This record gives sequence, C-alpha cells and structure tokens, in this order.
Amino acid sequence: MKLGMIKYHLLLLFREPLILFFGFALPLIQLFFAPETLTLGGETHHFMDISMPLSITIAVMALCFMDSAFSHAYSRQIKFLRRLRMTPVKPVTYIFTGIVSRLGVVLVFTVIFLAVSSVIFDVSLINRNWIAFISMLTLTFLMFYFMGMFVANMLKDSKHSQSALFIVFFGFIFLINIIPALETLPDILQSVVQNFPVFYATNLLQSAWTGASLLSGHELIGVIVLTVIFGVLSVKFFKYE
Amino acid sequence: MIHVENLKKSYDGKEVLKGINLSIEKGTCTALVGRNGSGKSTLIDIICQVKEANGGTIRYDFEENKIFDHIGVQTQDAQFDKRLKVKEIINLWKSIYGGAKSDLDELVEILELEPIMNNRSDRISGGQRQKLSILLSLFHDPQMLIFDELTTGLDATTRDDVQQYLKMLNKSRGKTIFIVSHYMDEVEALCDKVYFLKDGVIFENGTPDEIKEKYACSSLQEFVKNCMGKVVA
Repeated sequence: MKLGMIKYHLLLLFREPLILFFGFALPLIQLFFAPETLTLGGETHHFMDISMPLSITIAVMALCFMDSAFSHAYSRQIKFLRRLRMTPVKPVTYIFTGIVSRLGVVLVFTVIFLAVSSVIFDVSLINRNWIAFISMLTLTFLMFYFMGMFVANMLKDSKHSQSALFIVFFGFIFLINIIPALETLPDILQSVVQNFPVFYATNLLQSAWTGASLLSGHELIGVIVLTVIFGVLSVKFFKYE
Repeated sequence: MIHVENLKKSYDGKEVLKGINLSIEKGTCTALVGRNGSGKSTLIDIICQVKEANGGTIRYDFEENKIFDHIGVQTQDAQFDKRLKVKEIINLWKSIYGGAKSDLDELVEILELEPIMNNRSDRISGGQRQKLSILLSLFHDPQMLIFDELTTGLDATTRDDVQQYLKMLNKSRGKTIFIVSHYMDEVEALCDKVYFLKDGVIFENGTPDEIKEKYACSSLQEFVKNCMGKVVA
C-alpha cells in the first residue's frame, strides 16, 4: 500500500508544471546568474555559500509547502480524499507517504544541484559536514511540509486554502530574495525578517553547508519548535473534504 | 449484516436524523429513498464511519475496525484526480488492496473500461466515471456494496447496463447491496427492501410489493407522490 501511495504522490508531483518550475528549474537557473563572490558586512563570501541554501530552500518550499499543500487542498475540493477515506488508507499513511515521496525528491534534487554546482561552478564538496547538512535539510523539509499541510487544512473551503497558500508561498519567495541584501534594510525590517521561518531555514542550511555552528543562533530551536507546532496542528486539523 | 438502532445526528443544533432504525440483511438489496437534504448521505457517512452519530448504535456482522475490508463504497460527487489516468487510478487501488481480489479483467470487460484505460479521469463521460466507481468498489471483492446515487445523471442505456450488473452481483454472486436512489423504477427492479426517509425518520419500510399493497399504489413512484410529498428527487 505504501509504495503505491508514494507512486501516487510522485505522479501528481511530476504533473504540476508550476511545482516543476519552482522546485527544479528556478533554483538551477539561479545558479547560472550568480556572481562569484558577494560582500556582506565587510566580508567576502563565495556566492555559492549564500546561494546554495537559498536555492535549496526554494526547492524545498516548492516541493513541500506548495506541492503537498496544493495537492491536498485540491484532493479535498474534488472529494478524492473522501473516496480514499473509504478504503483501508489511514491519514497517517497518507501523510507518511506524502513526506517520504517528497523527501526523496528533495534529496535527489539536492544531489543534482550539488553535482551541477561542483562540475560547472567548482564548488568544493570536500570537508563538508554531510550528516549535519542532510539532517538540517530534512528538518527544514518537515517544517515546510507541516506548515503547508496546516494551511491546506486550516480553512474550511479548499479554494480559500489554495489562495492562502499562494500568498504565503510568494511572500516566502520575496523574503528569500531579500535575505542576501538583509543588511541594507532598516533595523526594524531586519528584525521582522529574521523571525520568519524562511529565514530560519536558509540560515540553518547555510550554517550546515559552511560548517558553522548550528547552535550559535536561535534558528535550530525555531525550526524544531515550528516543526513540532505545525506537525501537531496539521494532524489535529487534518480534513478529508 | 448492518443493524442501525435509534441513530441520531445533528448539525449546528438542527436534528437531521431523529432515531433511525434500519437493517441490511446479508445477500439482500436494500434501498434508502428520501428527498434531497433528508439525511441519506449523512446516514451512509455514519455507516461508513466517516461521520460520528450523536446517538444510537450500529452493529456490523464483521470487524468494526476493518469495515472497508468488507464493504465497497461508491460515494456521491467524489471525483478522481484529473492528473491521473484511469489505469493509474486502478493501479493505486491495486496497491491499496494488495492486488485485485476480484477478476479485474472480467470487471474491465463487463464495465467496458478497456478503451478508456489511458484516458485522463477528467476526459471520460459521467457513465464511464460511475463504471470506474463500481470497479473500484468491487476491487477487493467485498461482501457488501454501498452505492450513493450511483445512476444519477446517467443516460437510460447506461443506467440499464449498470442496473443489470448490480442485479447480477446481488442475485448471482450473493453480494449485499445498499443503494440510495431517486429512481423508483430502479428500486422496484433491484431491491428486496426499501426504507423511506422523511423529516429525519424512517417514514415507511418494507418490500416494494408490501408498500404498494398497503397504500394501494400501482408503483413506488405513485406512493412517493401521494404519501411522501410531491417530489423525492
């Protein structure tokens, strides 16, 4: 049953042009427009160290937040979930297979992304803390997945859920793109942006990628807390229709 | 097979089902008839454990926590994901049930689904969609089938085909069938027993012949017109 459900989630994912664009094409396209270095706060960084977490966060958001949530809201709307409910498929199976299928895609995408970065842009893959990076990638993935499921279930009408998802997703995309230029923003805006989940996610992935301490800021705790909160809420408010 | 006793259900303080008593006996075809909004689909949802009742009990002659191993359900208005092809939906059901326990090839042939196997589910007709629903509900060879307005919206020929198939399932294969229908000719042709739901209670029940005799009606349609209000459908 689980393999069939994973295949079901993957079939739907690969038939969504919008998700394929934001989840695969856009992060790769961004690579080719990236400058070699970037100066932030007087320090010069290899741009890939900044760009890598941002691009992967965009992919994770598209694949988890957008795809899982849109797919869920749409299945609610057409009452396919209601039909599925009258089979031995349990909500936990539906959620679990949704997570496994998309996590698999995110990991494959990351491998492709790293391979392209390494071959074309000479990004070094040696001396990276892969365990920390994959762990933070998975944690970030779960946070966005549960956030998406929460939004998809939160509103009574699934069409409103879809509208809400669009607003939140493009809000996140906007935030991601201003993160490299965060220091140019007024202080008050900086402190606001720094408390968004998307900021936690990119900073955490960046720390894991560059080998910086994961415990130096409050991002790890923020992501864990948000994952737990939205995980509980998305299960508690899970709606079939 | 399923025994409903004094079942009650309210929405926002409004009582939709006011103490329903109903029995679906093994091997029979039973119908539930009532006006739109009379609570028929709610009753099916409660029987299928999709909604919770506010009172009363339901006894199943099988394991209560595994009802979908024993029941196949077709639900009103449920659509299939338009991104999936017919064969992909069938494959999904195969994986859910660990393979088809019914003879899938025979079902596909009888229901004439072979020509549309590669079609997307939003590019098949209403009749084909209903036939696909029947196939999915029969997938695991359940003892009992529940159909909620299965033939609504179908053309006369397709309706006749579907009815003949249901009759065969009930009479030749011994499947217990519970249908919700607005077509009285269908109920008369298929069902051993019929329950009429009105204002949240079972207004009348019996075999079609018993009801016609009791109310001196020539058909169930006449009974519905004269005794249950102008329109059921």
